[in-house]
Amino acid sequence: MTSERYFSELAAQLGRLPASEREEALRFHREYAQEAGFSTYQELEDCFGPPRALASRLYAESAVKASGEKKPGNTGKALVIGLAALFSLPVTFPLALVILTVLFVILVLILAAGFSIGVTVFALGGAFVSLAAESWGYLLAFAPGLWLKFLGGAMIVLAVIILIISLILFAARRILGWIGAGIARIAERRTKDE
Amino acid sequence: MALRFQVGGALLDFLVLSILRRGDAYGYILTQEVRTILDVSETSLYPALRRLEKSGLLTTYDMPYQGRNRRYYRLTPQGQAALADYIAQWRQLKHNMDSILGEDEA
Repeated sequence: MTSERYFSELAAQLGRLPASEREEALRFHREYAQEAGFSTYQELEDCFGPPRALASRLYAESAVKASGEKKPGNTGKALVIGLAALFSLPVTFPLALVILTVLFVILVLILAAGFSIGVTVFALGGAFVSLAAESWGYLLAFAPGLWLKFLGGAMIVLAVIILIISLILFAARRILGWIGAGIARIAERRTKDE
Repeated sequence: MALRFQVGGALLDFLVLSILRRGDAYGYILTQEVRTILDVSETSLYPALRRLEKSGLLTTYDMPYQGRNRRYYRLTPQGQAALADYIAQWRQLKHNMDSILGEDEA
């Protein structure tokens, strides 16, 4: 088997990486193989391991990097690449099962937390609406003191709602990022062990 | 003989930067040099180089060689600063290790 076969298998394994990262990785390893004088599949495999193992290292690295970047939207990317790394590992089925179970539990916990927060926000929203309505009533009744008092109350409640929502979004993004990077690290460690 | 320490990212980064201080190098030769000193697998260099490049410590350029390109890695000013920092920490570590081992001036 030829070295080209190795690289086409590697390219196929790297399908879920962004195109630029995939090209860059292939370019580097092709150049390396040429410098080292590798011309057969076997020589490449002896050096870099099977294409699948090399691919999962590259995925792991990419996911750790993506979760370290500051741009929003990379969280989802890190999670997807982390999962891709996990499933591109050889002999990993029991581990994948354990991690899927853990992910499921985490998902349930997040949903439960989301539900209780949702109820809180809903209740606060109700308080806001009734305070605002009441202040509107005082405005119509030409009672500026009471109007301001209730409007102020309504604003405070609104601020609390916004604060809670933004805290939740912030925390959720961080937690998802950690999960993605964590999975990627596990995958990376597994590949190094082989 | 390559040292059989478990090599984390920082020591590998330090070594790569140190090698590049003596001159630009391409992936294969850089890997070979690293492997004379540290026991790292041949697959560890690419991620390290990507990481260093992404964080602005290295840049790359291509040079034609026998009808194809070699991609060379070069220290950026930022990379030189990071290396200076590593060297200072290394000297401190070496000094502390020596004194623990009783191999200081004694």
